[in-house]
Amino acid sequence: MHRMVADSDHWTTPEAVKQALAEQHYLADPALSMSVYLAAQLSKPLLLEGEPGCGKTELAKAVAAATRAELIRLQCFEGLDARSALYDWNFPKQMLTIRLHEHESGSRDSLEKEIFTERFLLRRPLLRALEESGPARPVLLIDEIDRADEEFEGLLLEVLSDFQVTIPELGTIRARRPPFVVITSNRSRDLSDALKRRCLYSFVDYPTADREVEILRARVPHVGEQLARDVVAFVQHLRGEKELVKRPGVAETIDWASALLALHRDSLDPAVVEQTLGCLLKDAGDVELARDRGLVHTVGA
Amino acid sequence: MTTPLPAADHLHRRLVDFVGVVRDRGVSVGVGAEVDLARALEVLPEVHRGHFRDASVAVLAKSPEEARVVLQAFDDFFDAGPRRPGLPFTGQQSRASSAPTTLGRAGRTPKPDETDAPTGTTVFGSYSPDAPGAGHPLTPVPARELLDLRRGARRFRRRTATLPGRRRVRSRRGSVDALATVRRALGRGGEFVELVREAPRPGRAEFVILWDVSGSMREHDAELFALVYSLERVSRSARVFAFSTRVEEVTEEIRRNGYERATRAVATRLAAEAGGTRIGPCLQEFSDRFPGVLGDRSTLVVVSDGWDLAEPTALGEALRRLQRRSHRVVWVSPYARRPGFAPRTAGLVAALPFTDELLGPEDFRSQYPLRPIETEARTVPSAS
Repeated sequence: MHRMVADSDHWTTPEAVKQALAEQHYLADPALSMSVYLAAQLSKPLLLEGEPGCGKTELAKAVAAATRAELIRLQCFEGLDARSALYDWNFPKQMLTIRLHEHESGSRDSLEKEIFTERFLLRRPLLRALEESGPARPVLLIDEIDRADEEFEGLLLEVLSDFQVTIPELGTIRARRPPFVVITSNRSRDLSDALKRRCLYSFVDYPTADREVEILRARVPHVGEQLARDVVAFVQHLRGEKELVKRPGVAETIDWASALLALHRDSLDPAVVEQTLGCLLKDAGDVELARDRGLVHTVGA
Repeated sequence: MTTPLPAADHLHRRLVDFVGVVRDRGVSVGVGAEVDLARALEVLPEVHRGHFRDASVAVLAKSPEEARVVLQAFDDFFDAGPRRPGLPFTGQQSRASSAPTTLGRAGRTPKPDETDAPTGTTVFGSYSPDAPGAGHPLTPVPARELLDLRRGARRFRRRTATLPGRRRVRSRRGSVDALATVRRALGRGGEFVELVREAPRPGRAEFVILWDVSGSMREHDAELFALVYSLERVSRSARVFAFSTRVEEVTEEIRRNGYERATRAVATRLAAEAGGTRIGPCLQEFSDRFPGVLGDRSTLVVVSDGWDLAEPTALGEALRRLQRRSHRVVWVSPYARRPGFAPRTAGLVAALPFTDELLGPEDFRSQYPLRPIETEARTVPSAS
């Protein structure tokens, strides 16, 4: 029996990680448990790649829940820069201070010093993660980094290797203790070697059918064994269609099972699959292809 | 089942040997990662084979392809015992035959003196003793010709750049960036002495190049490799895949080397590639093995004469899917600018409906205007 502790620093074995995540209904395989364990022990960021909907973001949430730590999320997008990710100055407040200063006596130097202090600093997710001082190591989730520009990866290098940020006006801010960093990517583009070198790596693939049934039953407890198996069999069949633009992930499986329960269904038939196909396929061409090929009618086959 | 591993004092030596094997198989492992693996073994409460294996993958691999190589190397290493001097691994394989065949990135490139190639010309087949005896020459083109192709490649890059992105950059003539103007004013005591302007940054061209290295392309190898090299060099995120009867990624061989070394490295990497072309199955293999390579901004450049030993409909079908996933598809045929050219090869005929532009290598030379060749076969709209 492994000792259960709150902080990721104190996970004693990869098996303890697996157990702690399982308690949060996240079923990790041994390789992923090992990656999480080593990321915690070595204070290295964990880079997760894989198809959308395979549980990359959920892993960060599960780690945060298991360690009762704050989850600080940075959702990446094209054009993301230091002002959105790291810090910014509160310009309206600075302007107001300057205007007030015009009616008071005081030197220009003292004004400059005043408006570039922490009072005027807006902390964005990366800086917040470094300064977080809660009881447990915060979990910093940098989600879908492949959506951000390559230049943003350069910005991350200092943060991820030394867990520090240099603000010209204030100096270098170092983390009291490194956050547990999870970076996710859907592999829409390659990440730079420099970033990869700083991370431990794990590829989150689609689960096997048996594994997916376990996940489904853990995440949707009210789903029956037979319905879970039927749902998973159909989803796995869909994933075998290589022409689909977007193959359904585990998240779609869970959504679909939840939808079927909401419709009070305990078994699958072509009619209900047809009505709820939108839970699984998110591209009009994919839905059309599934109908044209009669995939809907393979339920229970 | 867990297999006991050697005592800790012996473990580091085994680890270094193991990392050497992983490097031999084409995975780029820095000293930092090697140290990380040693640290990982230290923080594990008990180091048994399963833990060592999982930790090796987590620390050394940086892609699913590399993970497969690390796992295989691990199993081979610990099944076969320690590496002996002078032999790559088990003593049963030559280094050439243990070199990666399906690895997507960072293949170990043998140094020039490891090949028997005469100066200036590298011969496919000279590296691996198991490779077919007859190789094809891959001769570097003269520097002036290469520079000319490079200029053409830059012109092609500008032409294929995707639409302006959402990201904006400083510009003299763009719209006023209010926030940046305020920030600039702060540095001048709150006085607005100048306006900061910005404009959308033009999207970059991202090339994915599929290069046919089959027997029918031999006489064009030198020129087309120079073109492929130029295209890779002018794009920051190009990926290059060579194919004949299977697909091999050669991006790293090109990216990490100057032109002449890249010529030798690619020729060595493709030592066993010879014979016929199966374009359709290769495109399908590319689609399956590298699903994330193509995106909305990707320009897929297929460099091939279209001689296909496989069923042409498979080629058309595979290219249709690839076109659906990319920004545009450009086919470069070595014969496209020859007088009297008409697309007659079954492969090219099947491909053209799903091709946005047909070009010849001459189009990338500076004296030619870059304009696509009009053919009757290209009647299907490019976007699906």
